[in-house]
Amino acid sequence: MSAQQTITVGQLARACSGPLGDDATIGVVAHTQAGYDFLRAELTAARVKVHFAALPVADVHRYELPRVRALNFVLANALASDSGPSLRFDTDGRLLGAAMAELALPTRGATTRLCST
Amino acid sequence: MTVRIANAAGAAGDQPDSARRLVEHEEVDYLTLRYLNGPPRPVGGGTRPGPGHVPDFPAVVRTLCPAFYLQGQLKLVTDAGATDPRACAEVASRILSRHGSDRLPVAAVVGGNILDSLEELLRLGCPLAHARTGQPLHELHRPIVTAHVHLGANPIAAALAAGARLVITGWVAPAALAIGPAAVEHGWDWDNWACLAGAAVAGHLLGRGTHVAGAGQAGWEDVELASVGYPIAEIDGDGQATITKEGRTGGAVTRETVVQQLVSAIGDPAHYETPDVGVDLTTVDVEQRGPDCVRVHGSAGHPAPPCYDASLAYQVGYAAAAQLLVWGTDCLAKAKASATMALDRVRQAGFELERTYVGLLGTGDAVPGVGKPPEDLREVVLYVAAQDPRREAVARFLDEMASLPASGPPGLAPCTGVTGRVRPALVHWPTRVPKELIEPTVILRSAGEWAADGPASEDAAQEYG
Repeated sequence: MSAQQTITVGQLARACSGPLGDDATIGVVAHTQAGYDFLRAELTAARVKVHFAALPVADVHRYELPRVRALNFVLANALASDSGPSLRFDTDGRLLGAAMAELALPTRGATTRLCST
Repeated sequence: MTVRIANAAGAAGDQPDSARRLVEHEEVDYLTLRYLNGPPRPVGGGTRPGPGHVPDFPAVVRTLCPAFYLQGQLKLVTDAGATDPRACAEVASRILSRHGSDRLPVAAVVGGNILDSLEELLRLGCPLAHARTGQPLHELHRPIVTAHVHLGANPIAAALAAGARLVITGWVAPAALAIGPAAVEHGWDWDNWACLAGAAVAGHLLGRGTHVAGAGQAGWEDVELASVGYPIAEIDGDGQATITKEGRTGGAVTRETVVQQLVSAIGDPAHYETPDVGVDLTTVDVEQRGPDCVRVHGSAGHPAPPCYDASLAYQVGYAAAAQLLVWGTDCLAKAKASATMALDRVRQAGFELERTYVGLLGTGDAVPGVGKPPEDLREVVLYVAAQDPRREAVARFLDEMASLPASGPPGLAPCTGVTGRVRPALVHWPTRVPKELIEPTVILRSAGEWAADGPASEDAAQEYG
């Protein structure tokens, strides 16, 4: 791990996940406006796809709800396959929110400003 | 005038006593029980072909009998009917009749189960194409085992307007359970997009159950979750809503919990579509007005889509999973060896399983690739799942897993649970059906009339009193 400062999604927001048809969705709600602005810039669909690459996830779409300081991630077709139901333990994607909270993002020194107290 | 709508179930398997508790402590106009979620799973599972209703529901009806009798304003709307709302109405009505409510008007909303209409729909030009791949259904050479459209609020409202006090549907858009009652009480037209949108948002939030009061999310340590309460929406005539919860319960309804539920189980927020209205959730404002008092307003609505969403499923075989506790400083190696051993034995019995999965729970395998596995693990749960077209192959797999504590390495203990059963392995086929090809119908009768029907479900009546 490099010396660069990082902050986790969980320090800035709460995240919940669950099923939506064959997709898994993760809603991320920032505690503060500064936190939302930071996540909007840094918590990209590409980064989320890398974080969950081992699931695997074919595609991630990100949507923004600025009025409520939230981001919604849709992990397309993460819960099913054409050959049968998911055989994994977490067939509803309920654990992905807690895993999202652990995603670390580089802060470039802005940590104290971002954390809500 | 405000309509008070509570929801006492956010999913099948939710707390069984919540409905009774809620109506005993709170006077509400409508109680909803939302059980169904997601693509089809065998409802009422197991090997016995039972009625196609949610198994939780009859016992809950039993607990609600006093409230139905004592509270004349109380009405219940639920999707417990699953694949057979008519059969569910019969079971519920038997229970109600036994407990003084034989005159209670009970409605079943039918027309959503399209399993017997697939040929007809194809003939009428509806390709039932896969919603993601576009493949037409006729190119899938597999028998469909379940098929239903997700209906909307219109038939629920019709049933209530005709006097029903218990409305049983099959699969409906979750928000419909609240849109129906609100539309009837406030006399909204079905093109009143702003009002319908507000009710849709309230219904979406209600469907999240105890998560509205803080369950299932960060911050749970700060509230009393053991007695967490279920949500109540107070919907005004203009569609705006106040979200609260039943009194004298734990948990807390806050701006944060409500926003978290607003963005749960949604796709593109600008297009949250229900059969009755489309909502742009990015326009919604959420404001905390006081303890357990959150105002939700500003929802912008647009016309509903012309098609119902539909869920079909075809069977590709059978699946099962088993779990064993593995203990020791060598637990990881031992667990992997045990899985290999069981699968080898299945192979020796003549079955090469089509798909298998081996997970080590305790190492972080439930969400792979996130963080490092801990060192010096003394115990781990070995989780093995298998799928195969042949039922006997999957049954053999379970037998071999179950025999590991006796005939495998030392330090293995079985974990009991419902995963240890052979179940159908279904693949979901999401599609759409034009609304004009579907005829939702309300069947309204008294509980006594429903109960007089049919010889089936005596067991259910006996089991649930």
